[in-house]
Amino acid sequence: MESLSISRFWRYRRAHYRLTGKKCLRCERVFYPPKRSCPYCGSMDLEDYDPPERGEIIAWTKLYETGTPYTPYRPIYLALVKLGDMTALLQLTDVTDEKKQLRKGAPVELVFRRIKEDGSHGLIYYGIKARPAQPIETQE
Amino acid sequence: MNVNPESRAGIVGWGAYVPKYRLRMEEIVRLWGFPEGTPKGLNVIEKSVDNLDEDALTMGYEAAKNAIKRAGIDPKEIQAVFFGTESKPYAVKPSATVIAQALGITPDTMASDLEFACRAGSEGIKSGIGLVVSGMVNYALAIGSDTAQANPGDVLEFTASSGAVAYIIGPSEASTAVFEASYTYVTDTPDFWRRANSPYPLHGEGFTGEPAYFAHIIGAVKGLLDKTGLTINDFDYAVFHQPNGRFPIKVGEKLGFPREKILPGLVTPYIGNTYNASALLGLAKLLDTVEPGVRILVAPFGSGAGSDAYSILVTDKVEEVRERAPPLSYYIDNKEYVDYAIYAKNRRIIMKIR
Ligand SMILES: [Zn+2]
Repeated sequence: MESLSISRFWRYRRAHYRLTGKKCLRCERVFYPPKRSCPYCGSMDLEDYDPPERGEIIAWTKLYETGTPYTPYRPIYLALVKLGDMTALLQLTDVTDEKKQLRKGAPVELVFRRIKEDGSHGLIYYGIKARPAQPIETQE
Repeated sequence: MNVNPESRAGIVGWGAYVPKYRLRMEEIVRLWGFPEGTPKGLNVIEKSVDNLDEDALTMGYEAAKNAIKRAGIDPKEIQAVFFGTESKPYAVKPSATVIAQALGITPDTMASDLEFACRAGSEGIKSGIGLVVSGMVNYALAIGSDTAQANPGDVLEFTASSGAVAYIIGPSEASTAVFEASYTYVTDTPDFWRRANSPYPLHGEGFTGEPAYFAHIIGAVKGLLDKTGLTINDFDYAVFHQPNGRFPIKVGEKLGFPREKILPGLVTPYIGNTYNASALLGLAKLLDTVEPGVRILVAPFGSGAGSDAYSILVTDKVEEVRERAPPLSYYIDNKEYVDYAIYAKNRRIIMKIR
């Protein structure tokens, strides 16, 4: 993310804002971030894939060594998250109890958050993160 | 009474969002040396605190997402997005466009940020009603969201909190609640303000109560009653702007509402005053729980000052869409307490050079 320029972030805003990946119409696999060709079979016959808003943790880790824009958020939690047919490496936020909330299979929900800021005068970069979810009977 | 043009529009979907963190009132009492009874006098137990990566825009997005889910419409059918806040992440650069982009509403839509202290979200609703009724748009999205600022140690700090609410305004036939009538009452009143480069608002001593909050809400409600011929007894519930847990009960009493009609829509005691989301979250709480057929009086207020009074009739559709998104209680119950240090960091009160 650090290397992202304003124009690059703008070009990829659909991927950042909506976590839109690609589904390969030949091998049917789904991948994120989106690319021009399927990383599994090379096909360029792809369609957009918008993942569900709830998923589960496959694996997680935390970082103490981070680039300057991220130091206020330390430690940074990262998780490989399964969202329907898609797997994405996402930042986790609102983590308050590692033992309870972070384990394989733990439920997460997608949220829209600040990813980083260019100081206090520059641009604010928004995007999707995941956070530990509560079970609710009202969720579809 | 159905001659009011508002009655051709209604709430097609509603959505709420409250961040996870809570600050207990005792923390502010302890840090700033207030008398122990101060929070009790305000009738507030604790207030919501946003995470460091949240702001009015991100919270507004979450509430709007829930409102769209309940409305069950394609986001592209929304042709107006109004974002009411007094804590915009940017002084210049609309938040409404970011939210509209992230929710898939762009590019064929109006979008703007509105400011009227705590009343801008309600002005968004009223503008949305006008656009829908005139046939200029199919659906309008009105959001009220704030990460409310308060000068550290000011009495305002007990209540200034964070939260968001959103409403999809559409044709009355498709609505979960119909706007029967509305009335707006504004004057120039110096009760509360924040200058352009000032980080915290100031309030005029002795001005916040009678000449501001009470005069304007009562003005709007009386205007609504005169216009419609309705009386206090015709309403099953009343929701007023909630700067603390006491004022809404008091203004209700002045108008003749018993407490039982006000308490079900009161949210400030549990999360504080979410400014632009304040009264409108009270309405969301009612839509989450009430029976079809009830009539609700809603009166948001904003300093500066003004109030809108709405008469809202809940329809059978409310039960159909209720479970499509998490209720307000999901967010109120999912909480984690923080101390003043974490609160200060999340609220960016700690000065850091970068
Ligand atoms: Zn493939």
